[in-house]
Amino acid sequence: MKKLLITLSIALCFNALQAQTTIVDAGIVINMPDVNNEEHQKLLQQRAKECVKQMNDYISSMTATQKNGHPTVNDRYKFRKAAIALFLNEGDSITLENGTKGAPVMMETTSKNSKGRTIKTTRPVKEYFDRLIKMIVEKRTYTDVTITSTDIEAMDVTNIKKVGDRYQCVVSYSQDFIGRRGELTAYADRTKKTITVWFVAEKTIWGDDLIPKLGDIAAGETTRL
Amino acid sequence: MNKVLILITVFISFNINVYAQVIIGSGDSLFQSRIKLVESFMNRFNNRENLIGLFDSEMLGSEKDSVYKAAQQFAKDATKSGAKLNFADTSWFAIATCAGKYKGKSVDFILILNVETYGKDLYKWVVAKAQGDFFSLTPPKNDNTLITPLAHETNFMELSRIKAESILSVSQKRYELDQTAVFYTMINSGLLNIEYVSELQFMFLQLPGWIFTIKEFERQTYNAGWLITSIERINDKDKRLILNNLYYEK
Repeated sequence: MKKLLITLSIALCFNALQAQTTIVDAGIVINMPDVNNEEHQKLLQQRAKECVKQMNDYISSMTATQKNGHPTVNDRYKFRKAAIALFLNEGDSITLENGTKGAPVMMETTSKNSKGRTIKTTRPVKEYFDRLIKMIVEKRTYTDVTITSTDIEAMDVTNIKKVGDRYQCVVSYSQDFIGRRGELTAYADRTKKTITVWFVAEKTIWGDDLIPKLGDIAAGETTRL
Repeated sequence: MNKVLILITVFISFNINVYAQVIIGSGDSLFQSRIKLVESFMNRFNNRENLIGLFDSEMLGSEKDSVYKAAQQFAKDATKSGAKLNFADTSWFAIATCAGKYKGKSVDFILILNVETYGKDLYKWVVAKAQGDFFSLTPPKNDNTLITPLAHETNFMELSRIKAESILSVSQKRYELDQTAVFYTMINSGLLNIEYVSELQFMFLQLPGWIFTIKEFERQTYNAGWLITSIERINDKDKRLILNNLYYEK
């Protein structure tokens, strides 16, 4: 109920903040935010952070083990599906105007090679989630894993930038990974991540609205804990 | 072009390795205090919010240190000048060290990127310069490739014998290769793939009399995130030289 009231108040607040500019995209008349308007900025920034938080919660649930919930494999894939739904085009490639296929939404991860040099690997976000679940289910490396991320209050977000007819911002957060073997912590690290959040026009029960959709996720250097 | 890249490279090389004291266990508060985004750095600089705190503390040393004194002067000048850092400015740029694959072999190279406007409230990053040893197309040692003096009598048939790695052996003495054009060609022809950015720095020229660089420090201390890693006094003439070369102005 509380969540519904918050959503309602945000929607009403957004309608009250409508700027004059409108465009037509896929048959939907979108009320465009004014990127120079501080209230518009704050509203969209808050939506972006909430969306990122939601994704992080799904990742925690997707990878939860006996110590923190022990979901079934089916449950894990339900959380994966819910997380994927938060991404632009559900993480898949987008067909560009010229008919060519663009890249899917990508997740960057970091590791160190034998020389101590940081190596970055980029893979589609869907594949990243599959690998996470596989790691948990197979228990080859760790018997128990905990993945936690920063709360909304600790996230930072850039101003909203216009890109063609769309809008984007970037949210930064930190992710802690703890892998255990039995009772012992075998590995723990902290990685700073930055994620692009796009705003996509969608029809909602409140009317036409800009909905945050997640894009590429970049990883900073990993710090061992 | 080369002069500018040398200047930038020398400037970057002033970076100091940091061995930070690690604090574990207060993840959220540490993360909250760090300068997580470049935009946050710019906001803090513009608000003149503890300018000395925007420096990599390991670089500063003690208050008696010359670097610390220079930083104090930098902060004083910044406050006095009122200079602001804005995303849309043409006087800042990114220096991205990239890891890529050239014909399947791992290579490192540098791309310099700047912000360009393409309409009202519309901006994008563009590649201004590329720098990498393999962009210079240096011919192999003892390469004797040349187009012989009478080649004109045989329809310059020898041109078909020029090997890829020897292409500069047949160029004019005064020919100056544009590494950025080579970069574009390699990407366009599928010879080079960019895999990821392994190191990222930003150079700012907005503050009169100074040039400074920031980079991100990943460490579990309160002095972390995007921090000033080098400062240097610079005159207007050298600033103009850098910017003119960046924007191909004659």
